[in-house]
Amino acid sequence: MPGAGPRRPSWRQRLAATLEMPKDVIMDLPRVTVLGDLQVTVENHRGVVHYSPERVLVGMNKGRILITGQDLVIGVIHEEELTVTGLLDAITFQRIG
Amino acid sequence: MALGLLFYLLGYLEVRVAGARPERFLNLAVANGIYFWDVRWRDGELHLKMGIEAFRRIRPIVHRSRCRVRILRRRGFPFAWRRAAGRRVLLAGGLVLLACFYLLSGFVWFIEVRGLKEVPEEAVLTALARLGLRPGAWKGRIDPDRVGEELPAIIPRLGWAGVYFQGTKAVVEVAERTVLPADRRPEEAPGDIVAAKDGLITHFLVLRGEGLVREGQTVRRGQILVRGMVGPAEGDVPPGDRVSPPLLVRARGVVRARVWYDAYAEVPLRMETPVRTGDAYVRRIVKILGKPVVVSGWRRVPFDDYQVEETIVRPREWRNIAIPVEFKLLRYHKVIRRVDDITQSEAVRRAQVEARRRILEEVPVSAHILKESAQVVQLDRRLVGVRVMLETEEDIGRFRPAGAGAQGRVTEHLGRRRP
Repeated sequence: MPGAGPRRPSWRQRLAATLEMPKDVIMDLPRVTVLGDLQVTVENHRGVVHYSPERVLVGMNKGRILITGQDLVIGVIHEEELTVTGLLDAITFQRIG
Repeated sequence: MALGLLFYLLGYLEVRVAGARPERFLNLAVANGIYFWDVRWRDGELHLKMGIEAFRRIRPIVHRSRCRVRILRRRGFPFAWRRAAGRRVLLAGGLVLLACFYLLSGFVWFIEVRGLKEVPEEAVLTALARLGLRPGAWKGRIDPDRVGEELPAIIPRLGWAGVYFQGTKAVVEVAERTVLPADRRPEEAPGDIVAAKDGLITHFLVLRGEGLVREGQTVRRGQILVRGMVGPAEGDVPPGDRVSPPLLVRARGVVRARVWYDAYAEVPLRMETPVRTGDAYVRRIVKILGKPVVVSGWRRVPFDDYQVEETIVRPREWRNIAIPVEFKLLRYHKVIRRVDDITQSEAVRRAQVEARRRILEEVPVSAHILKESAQVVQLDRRLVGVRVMLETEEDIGRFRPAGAGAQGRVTEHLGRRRP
C-alpha cells in the first residue's frame, strides 16, 4: 500500500468520535456480523463481485470482503443486507484506494 | 422466518440463471430492490429463489446482464392450490365430510339420566321429550337450564334436575324427593274430630271415621265427635273370628252446632280525659358512662298534673365502638282533666258495642248469627253494665291428631277464623 507510517484518522473518523455516532453511519462502512463459522451477514454492502461455492467476494465502500469456505450459499440478498452461509474458513478485507 | 411464510402464501419461484457473469445479474436486480434467497451453485449454474412479483420486474435486467433465466419450480400456496384444482372433487369431499361432522355434532344422540332411584327412566325420557330433549333433537333449540327447571314440574317426584351437554350426549342429573309413606304425610295423619266449643249439634255428617254423637246432642269442648278409627264394631264380629285391630284413619266430617256466647261490659257515666294545655317544661339530661347529668331544667316540674314525653338520642355506633354518651330529653306536658258526662242511653249504647265487640272476637267469620240480645244488668249514678248474648250456628269440629291428649294440640279443622 502506498504511504507508509501510521495513518492519521480521517476527518470523518474524528467527526464520528466527536459526535459519538456509530462509525458505520458516518463512514459508510459495512457492518459485518459473524455467526461462528456458519454465517456472515454484511449490511451496507455493494453487491456481489464474485460468487462460487468456495469464494464469495462482496463489495464494500473502498474495498471488498473476501469470504472463503466450503459449500457457500447466499442465504439472503437484497439492497441492505447479504448473508453468506456454509462452512467458513476466512474473512479477509481488501482495501482499495 | 415470517418472511418465509409470506413468500409461501404469495408464491415463489426457483430460478436458474445461466450466463457468463451471473453476479452482474444479481447486483443489478438487488439494486432494483429485488429480494433473493437461497442463492447457490448447482452443477455449474446459479440457482436462486425469488417472489413471483419480483420475477416480472427482472425481465429488463436479464437483458442487460446478458444472462438467461429459467423457472425451475413454482412453489407456494397459489401453485399448490392450482395443482390441487385437478383434485377439486376430493377437496370438496373432504369439506363435505367436515361439514357433516359439524352438523351431526349439533344433534343430541344420547340421553343419560343420572341419579334415578325409584322413578322409572322411561317416565323421565318421556317428560324430556315433551320438553324437546329427545335423541335427534337439534342442540341449538334446547335450553338446558330451562329443561332442568321444568322437568320437576312434569314429574313431581323429582325435586331437582340439571341438564348439560357432553358432546352429542345430554346428561340429565336428577334428585328424587323422599316421599313419606301415606300414613306419615301430615295431611293424612290419623286423628279425631273434637268439639272446639260447647254447643248443641244441629248437623252431623261423618265422612270418615266413627261418629260418636248425634244431632240434637249437647257436647262439651274437647269432646270427641268423630273418632278416627275404622274397623268392625264390637257386636259385628262373629264369635271365634279373628279380630283385626281397628285401623287408625284421619277422621273427616262436618259438625255444625248452636253455640252461645255472652259478654259483659261496663261504661262509667262520667269520664275524665287528660287534655294537654300546651304548657310544657323541658328537662335535658346527658348520660355519660351511665351517670345522668341534668343540663337544663333541673327545677321541680311546675305542674301538678302532667304527661311525660321522653326522647333519647344515642350517637351512632361506629365500628362496634359505642360512644358511652346518651342524650335524654324529657318534655313535661301540663294537662288538665276534662270531665265528660254522658247520658245513660249513650252509656248503654257504648257498653253494648263494647260487649258485642268482645264476643265477636270469639266468633268465626263463617258462623251464622241466629239470635242476639242485650240486657242492661247494672244501672246506677256512676256506671252502666250491659250483657250481650249471641247465638250462632257454626262448625265446631276441630281436628286433633291421634296421640294428642285432651289437653294436646288441637289444630283447627274447619271454620277457620279469618285473620
